[in-house]
Order: sequence, then C-alpha cells, then structure tokens
Amino acid sequence: MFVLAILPILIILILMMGFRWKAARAGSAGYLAAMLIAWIWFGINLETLAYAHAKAVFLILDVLLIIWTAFFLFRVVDEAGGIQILSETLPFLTADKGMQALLIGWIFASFLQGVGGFGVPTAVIAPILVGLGFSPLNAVVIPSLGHTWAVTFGSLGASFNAMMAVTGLGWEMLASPAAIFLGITGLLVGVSVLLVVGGLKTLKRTWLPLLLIGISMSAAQFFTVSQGYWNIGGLIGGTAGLIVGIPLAWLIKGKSPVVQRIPLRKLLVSMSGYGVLITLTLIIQLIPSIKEFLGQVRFGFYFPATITKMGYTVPAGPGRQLYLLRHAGTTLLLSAAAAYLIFKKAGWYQDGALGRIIKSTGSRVISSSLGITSIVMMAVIMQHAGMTDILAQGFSSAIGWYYPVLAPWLGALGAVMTGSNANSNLVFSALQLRTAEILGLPAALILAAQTTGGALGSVAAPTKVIVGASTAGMEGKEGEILRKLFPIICILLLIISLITLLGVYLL
Amino acid sequence: MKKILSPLRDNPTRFYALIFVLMIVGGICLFFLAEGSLVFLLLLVLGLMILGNLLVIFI
Repeated sequence: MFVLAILPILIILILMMGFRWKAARAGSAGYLAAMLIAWIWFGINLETLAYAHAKAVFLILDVLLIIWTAFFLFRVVDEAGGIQILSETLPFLTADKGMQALLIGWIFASFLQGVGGFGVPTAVIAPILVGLGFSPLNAVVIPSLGHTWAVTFGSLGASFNAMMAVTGLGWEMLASPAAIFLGITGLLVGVSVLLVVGGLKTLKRTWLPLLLIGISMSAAQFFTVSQGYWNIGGLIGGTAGLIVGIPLAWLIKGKSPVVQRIPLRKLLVSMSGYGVLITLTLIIQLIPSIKEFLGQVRFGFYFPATITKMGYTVPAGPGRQLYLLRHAGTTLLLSAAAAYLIFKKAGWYQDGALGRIIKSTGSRVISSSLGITSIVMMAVIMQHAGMTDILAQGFSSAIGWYYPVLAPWLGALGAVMTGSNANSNLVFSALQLRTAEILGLPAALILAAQTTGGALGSVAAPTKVIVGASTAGMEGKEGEILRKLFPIICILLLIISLITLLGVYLL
Repeated sequence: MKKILSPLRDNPTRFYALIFVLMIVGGICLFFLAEGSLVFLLLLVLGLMILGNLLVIFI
C-alpha cells in the first residue's frame, strides 16, 4: 500500500526530472494515477472523489490568483521599461554578484515572503535577476532557496497558524523552537545562495556580510515571535535584513561597478507597483479593522465528512475559503492597476501596451495553471483516499526511535505534495505530535522540524517550481530547476535532521 | 480524428486553457452533483475531466 500511495508522486517527479515532461503533462499523469490507485486499492467512492475535486478547486484558485496577478504586475512594470531601469540601477548599489544575490535573492525575497506569500518572492525576483544577467536557471533557484527560511512565519504567519490550529498547542510552546530551526536554515540558505552564484570563491569573499545579515534576520524573527507576534515574524526578519543589507551592499560595491546614474524620480516611478504592493499588504494585514472589513466577502463551501471503503475518514469542515477582497491576488491586481496608471501618466507606454500586457500574461501563465490544477487535485485526492496517511504511517513505523531524523522529511514530503508549508502543517502536524507523544519525544522540537522541513520542501514543490519557471522564461524546463534544487534541499534537510536528533536526545 | 486533434496540437495555449476551464468548472459542478441522485451526470463530468487529462498527456 505504501508503494501504491507514493506512486503518483514518483510518476510526476520521474516524468518531470527524468523525461523532462512539462509540469502540465506530468501533472495530468500523476492526477490520473492517483485517481486510479485511490479507486482500485484505497476504496475511494464517487462522492468522496467529487468532494475532493471541489476542495481542490478552491486551493487551486487561491494559488493561481497570486500567480496570474504577480505575472500581470511584472508585465505592467516590464512593458514600461521598469525592469530595465532596475537592472541598470541595482549594479550601481553593488556590482558584486554575490552581494546582488544576497540583497535581492535572499533578503528581498525573505521580505516579500514576509508580506506576501505563496510564490510571490520567486515570481517577482526571478525576472529581476534575469535582468541583472543571472542565468534563468539561477534566477529561479536563488530566490526559491533565499525565501525558504521565511515561509513559516511569512505570509503573516499563515503556516505557523495552521500548525497551532491542528495541534491545539500555543505559540508559547511552538514559536521559539521553530524560530531557532528556521534561523539556522536562514543562514544555511544564505550559504547555498552564494554557492549557487559562484561556488566557494564567492562564499569566501562574501561570508562576513552573509553572517551579519543572517544573524540580524534570524535574531529579529526569533525575538518577534518569541514575544507572541508570530504573525509578523517573517516581515520583521526581512525588514531587518534590508536595514543591515543595503548599507553592506554599498560598502561592497565590487571591483568594476557598472555605474550609470539614474535619477531618483525615475527609479521610484519604475518600482511604484512594488511599492504599492508592499504598502497595501501592510495596511491590510496590520490594521485589524480593515482586515476584518475586507474579510466580509468570502467564497467557499462547507464540506461534509467523507469515508472510503477502507474506513479512512476526513471530518466535515469548511474547505479553503477565498477572501476575495483581502486576497494577495487582489492586492497584486490593485498594485498593477496603480502602476499602470502611474506609467501611463508618466508617458512610459507606447500604443497598444495594455493589449500586449494582457496577451503575454495569458500565454505565459496558462500552461503553469493547468500543471498546478492537476497536481493539487492529485494531492487532495490522495489526502481523501488515505494515501497520504499511509505514507506518513509507513515512514513513522519503519523508523521508530530515529523518528527525529524523519520529522523534517515528512514535513518536506507534505509540502512537495501540496505545494505549501501551511498545507503540510495541516496534513502532518497532528500525526507528528501523536508520534512524538507515543515515542516520548519533545513535541515542540518535532513540530519545529516538521514546519522547517515543510518550508524547505515547499520550494521544491512542482507547483512552486512552475511559478518560478513561468516568470523567468523557463516554461517547460521545470525539470532542470528541480534537478538543481533537489540536492541542495536534501542536504539542508539532512542538516535539520541531525540538529533535531541532537536537540531531542542531548537537550 | 486528425481534423479534431491537429488544431489542439497547433495551438497548445488555447487547448490548455480549455482543459483548465474544464477542470475548474468540472470541480465546482462535482460539489453540487456529489450529494444528488444524478450519478450519470457526475460520471459524465468526471469522465470529461479524465478525457481532458488523457488528451494533455497524449497530444
């Protein structure tokens, strides 16, 4: 049953990485395999299958609203020449490739994860890095790795909130260990970013700013969440990184800076869309009355309990609710509209700009949208058929007392399958807690490992990889990205495993 | 058959858009069909979604 349960995931990974299939094609194969296996061997009935599809639709729309609008915003800025201006301006701040990668792909990505959420950092930053001369592959890999550590407390703490909700445990118990694990991960992904950019040579040259920035971001996140402000931990961590990182970037300008002074006004106008995005996100998330007001428009269904012929039950409850007005996609769309008006008024557009923006956005995102649709549907069918549960139980029983080593990998598996740290926490946190109780292990450390693994795994999720690929001109080459990301993520997970093992048995 | 498939091959963006809409609309329809007695309609929608994905794989 374990082999059958893992088969749809293997099919997708093998087809994408081994046979270089597009995500849309591989996702369809995984989706059909999951449905067939769930039907024949796991006894899923028609009703459960129907509800699983409907639940998946809301998860898909939740994800795609951000992808569509993030790319739309990018095209609005790009059509006006904004990316070109940014590409010419940032080397003025520092021409050092290592510092550029740290500043944009690590710090700015973490900040965007703090205020935004699913897919936004890679979707926004990958095109900027391409504009700076990074290869499209590195342009996707760098921000994918860079924002990893900020995922759990990013998106205004959505993933951490999911873990608290499922386990019933409070922030007092869970926040500090999670922040320590994620802080260590933050430094490790900073090292990984530099190694991706230029190997050991770049790491040796840039290790000091890396250390200073890493400690600042991790410490800021730790102190914020350990005081109970877990919803702004990622945001504060990213902001601390910018405060420390920008002066350091000025200091390390590189040997041959491509200096071309750009008037400040032009730079501000070119980045106006992203400025509006950050401002709107902060206003919506940090002012409770506005958040509450915008949360009144909600779209979603209430799902009844389902049971398979094998007796696997999914309790009744609301599926993913779409808060249309305060959704990150709406904020991105408003930012794009504001940016368009600003560029239009400034006379930066040529005739027919809007038509070109809409057409290019549509043609770029549709393949990714279909890939995400089939993969999320596969994941939800697996959850409802009990296949995900079989996978988790199989891993747990086979490992026993070495369970702390497995904990982050289980979190990562959930995130790879569902494309989200929050979903991984929803699926596996209760199981991790129960297993920790049975084995007499400290639950807080096991759950810290779960969410850290989930954060790491989420960036290797095919759904997120598709987002990055689609914004960096690498559609259809998602397999290349996965082949580069996978070994790095596995090494990072291995380190987290060892830290968890040491933490559980030595502390 | 060739007449039906070749336009899909020639314009994958429209084809993918079509299948995407089918999956989303189909998924919503399945919610309303799940509790009802219209099993035939439920099977039809599910069948169309399966067929759409088969086309994505083999075209």
